[in-house]
Amino acid sequence: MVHELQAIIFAAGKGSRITELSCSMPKCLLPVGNEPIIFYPIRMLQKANFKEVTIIIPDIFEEMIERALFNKFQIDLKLVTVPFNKDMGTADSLRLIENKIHNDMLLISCDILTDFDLLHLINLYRIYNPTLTVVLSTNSMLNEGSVPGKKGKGKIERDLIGFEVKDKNKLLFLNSEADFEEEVPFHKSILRNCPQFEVHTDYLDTHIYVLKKWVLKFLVNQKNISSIKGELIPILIRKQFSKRLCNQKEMNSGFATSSIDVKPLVTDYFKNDEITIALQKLESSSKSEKACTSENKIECLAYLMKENFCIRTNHLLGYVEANRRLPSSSTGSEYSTPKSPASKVLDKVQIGNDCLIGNGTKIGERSAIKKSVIGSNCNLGEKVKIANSIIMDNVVIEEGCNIQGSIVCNGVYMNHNAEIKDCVIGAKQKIVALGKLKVNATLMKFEI
Amino acid sequence: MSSKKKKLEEKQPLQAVLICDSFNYRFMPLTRSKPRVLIPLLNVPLIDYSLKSLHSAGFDDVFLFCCSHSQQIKDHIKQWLASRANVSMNVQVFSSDSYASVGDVLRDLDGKGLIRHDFVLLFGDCVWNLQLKKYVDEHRNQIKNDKGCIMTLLFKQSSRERRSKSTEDQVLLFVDGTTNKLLLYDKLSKHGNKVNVNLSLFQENRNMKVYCNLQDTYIAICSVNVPSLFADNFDYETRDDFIRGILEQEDILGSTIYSRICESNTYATRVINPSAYEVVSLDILQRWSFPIVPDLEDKVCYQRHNIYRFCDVSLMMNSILEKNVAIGTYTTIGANAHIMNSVIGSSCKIGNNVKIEGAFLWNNVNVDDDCELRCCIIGENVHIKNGCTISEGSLISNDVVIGPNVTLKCRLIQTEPDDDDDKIDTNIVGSEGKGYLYRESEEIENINIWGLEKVSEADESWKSSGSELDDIEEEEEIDDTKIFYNEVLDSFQRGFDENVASENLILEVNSSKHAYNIPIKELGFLVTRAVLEMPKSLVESKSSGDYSSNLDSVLNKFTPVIKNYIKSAESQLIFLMAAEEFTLLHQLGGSVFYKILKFFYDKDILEEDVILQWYENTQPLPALLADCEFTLDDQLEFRRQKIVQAFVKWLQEAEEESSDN
Repeated sequence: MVHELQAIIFAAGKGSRITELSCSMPKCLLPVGNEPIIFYPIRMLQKANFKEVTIIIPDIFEEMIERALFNKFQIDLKLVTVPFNKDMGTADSLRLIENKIHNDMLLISCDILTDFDLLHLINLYRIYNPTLTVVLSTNSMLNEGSVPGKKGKGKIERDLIGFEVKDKNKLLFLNSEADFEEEVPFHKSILRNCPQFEVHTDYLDTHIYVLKKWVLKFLVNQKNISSIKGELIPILIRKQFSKRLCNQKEMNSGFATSSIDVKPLVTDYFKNDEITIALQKLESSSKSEKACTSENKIECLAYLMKENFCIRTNHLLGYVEANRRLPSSSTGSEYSTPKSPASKVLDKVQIGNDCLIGNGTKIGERSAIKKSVIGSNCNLGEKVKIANSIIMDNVVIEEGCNIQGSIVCNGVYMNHNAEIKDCVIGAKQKIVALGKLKVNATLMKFEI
Repeated sequence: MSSKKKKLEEKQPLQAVLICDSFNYRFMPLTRSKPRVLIPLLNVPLIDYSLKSLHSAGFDDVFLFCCSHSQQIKDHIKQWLASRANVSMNVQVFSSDSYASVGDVLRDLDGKGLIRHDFVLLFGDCVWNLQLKKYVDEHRNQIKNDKGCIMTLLFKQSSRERRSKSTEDQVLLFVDGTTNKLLLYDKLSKHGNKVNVNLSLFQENRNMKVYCNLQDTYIAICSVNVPSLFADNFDYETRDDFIRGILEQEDILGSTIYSRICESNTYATRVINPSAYEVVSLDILQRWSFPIVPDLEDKVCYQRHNIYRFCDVSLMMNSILEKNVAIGTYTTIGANAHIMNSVIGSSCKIGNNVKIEGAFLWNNVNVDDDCELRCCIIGENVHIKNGCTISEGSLISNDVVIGPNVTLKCRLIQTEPDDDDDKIDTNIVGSEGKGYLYRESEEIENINIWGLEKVSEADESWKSSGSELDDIEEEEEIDDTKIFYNEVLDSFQRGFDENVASENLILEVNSSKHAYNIPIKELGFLVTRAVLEMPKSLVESKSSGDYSSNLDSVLNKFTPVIKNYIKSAESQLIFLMAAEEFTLLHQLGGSVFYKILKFFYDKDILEEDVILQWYENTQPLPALLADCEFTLDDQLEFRRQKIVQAFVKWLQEAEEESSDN
């Protein structure tokens, strides 16, 4: 049981990087390995013995999500809605549910797919009690490659991550590469404090964070911070290097009239818990002066996840990769039903070991399916060939169709002998007989 | 066949190129009559340390290059070799007055064709105890992996205390995380508060290690083609030029440089300035440089607290040698002396009641009674008379007489005058003094050449003591927003004066935005405030016209900038709030506000819906710069002004009209 942490899953994202898929259903319900992506973080929490999780979801999809999650987990799910139409960042959402938070927080994004054991993270948190812990994955496994529905290569948004390599990995900066134009500034104060560190752009920020509760108070008062990753974390990291807070406050009060700074400092919100206060008292009795000045209150650490499988599905490339790799990874085999549980597969059908077939799906004779995920209640005709593709639920594919490297959304109808390659077919589209789509097209609204 | 090849490889001789000129004047006036490599460090000429270490590291050939005072160096080498019969090392000395830089030496080396193997490039003022053979072998192995490898640079981790002292030889390194290939090499002292690194470096190298606690040993293992690369590029003056050039042209030249951080039990430091002289002396006294310690070769009595007494030292009653002290032969020290962290040469006479701390006295120095010496280097045959105090980075050249009863602080005293007309200034050197003030060629306000507070070279003008830096940090903590705002204001001011293109101004603003983490909402607000501030500063600087007469030209100039930041309805609202706050703050009245609004309304930057929304819902002002505080009543009153109301009414009517249509 994890008492001291309150788990929060952010599932209110719009999926702005995968609008092709997320326009017809909420991002958190997009299927990966035939299950909504939100199932994976919930299971991860369940495995780590969490008894309760707060899930932030968009209000307009409340019912839909509730239905999808109903009766699936032993863990107590608390759904909280936020307005979908207002542009709410992660920090905005957190601010909204401030009154529901009583403990330090474990924040997880719904689009993370990993077999990481949260216990490692919780142990780190228990040992060092840092203000912020960020989980980084050292093998994001993604290479820039071609993605369906787009011309050219899918680009990966990378982060610039710097941390000290010592007994604990102190974070020095965490910014998106896109934050910089041409040059990256390094402040000498940081260089002086941490003269030896590593800079990585090959690590993945998993968006799993542990955050102290007092930071929330700071957030409540800083209304202009709207995103945790883009704004709050850089501020916290930066404030690690602020020194001599007591002196500074005195200075401020000295010329407060000269209109310099009334803006509250992050550290003003810092409140020591009882144990720390007790410890400080002990310390201060032994070395009277040092105790109040020497400690730096804010500490941001990185946890490096080394051998685990980890993919974020917030962009098309990640989404495709996750579906491709899930059947062979441990995350997949543990949870998902591998092959044709209640589906009707006729004779002479070839299905590779690296495939997943959903419930109630029928597959016609002499079909061949490789490296693909097929949703539930689909109906595949004879001689259908599918490779490297994702077929969602309730798709009807007539005989002789050939699908390669594509994503086919819910309720698509493909008439016989249609051929598609490297395409994204939006929900409920129809494709005529013998139709051919090859040039990395994204089909959303019109019919062929 | 392969065994034959192996034999050939093993036979490669160890060769060193030792550069015995510093090409700068950091030790002037002490080095006027004597090259830096011959000044005594713990009573031994500096170059002897290198020669000894090269010998014990098993070098076969040493090519020594010298420029100034070359005859002295030649004589010294001859003498050194003659006194050591067991040294089989082949030492060749080359000298030329035309050497003006390391580049010249290496170009000459290329012309001479002496180098046929990998060699070690190092400087004559370095004290080191490295097993260079090992690093040379590593370099040769590296070449097997990477044919382009032409140089391995050796670095040494420096301790925290050391780092705070002299920043001159501190480097910032970016190396590849797995191979240690050098990606960026820079001197920290060349930068201000920030070091800007090109983004492409991060995009091309996904995994890097960054070091800025390293001290450059200036020892490099070079491949055969390094001299010819110098010859091909005449603009390479120093070793740093070379490194930068190779890194920049890696794609073209295909050459790579590797870094190697020496083990913590090794020692290597160059005596690049008086501060380093002090540090190296104390390091040797404290035996960090073992086996380079005084008691290993000479006849020295080594006592606890690192006291080294050479033969025939006489110490009078009640004199205290506290710690880290070396005293040369035939030196006498009077009663009640107190000495610590100092080196005293041979045949010196120290009087009674003398206090010596962190001072370095060369041979034959006479110090009379009641003197105090702190942080200074005192040349040979100097006589310091009664009651003098010499402190904080004074360098006193040979044969000078000081005193009695004067105080010298940060003074450089030389034997001969610069001009023949110069007279002895008795105010400085005392009534019986003999010596002239040495003035550094460049204008330097603070002549603390000790190197603690500043580095005295024009291009390294970055100066900062510890406390200064803390101040800056604190300021940053006070408010990033404020600093950002000031930076934007500066850019705009310059942009207006020099008529910089708007795109460049936007670029500047964006880069500061990232440096200070300014959220997008604040950005619009601050940019607006900065633009509106411009006419005001124009009024102040040119003292012509009033605010509103300057407004038009400023707004015209900055329209593209505003247009870039103010686009959405939300940002327009922010713009209005910024304008409102600004007019309220400076009590400019409704007419100016109307002018601003009208201008941007006409430019289609502000929409009428937003203006009406602003008018109807009075929102509290963000007061981001914290220079003002207005209540809602203030704001309502502001809205009640005639001209504002008239404008709003006009807008409303216009809207109704359009909706009627």
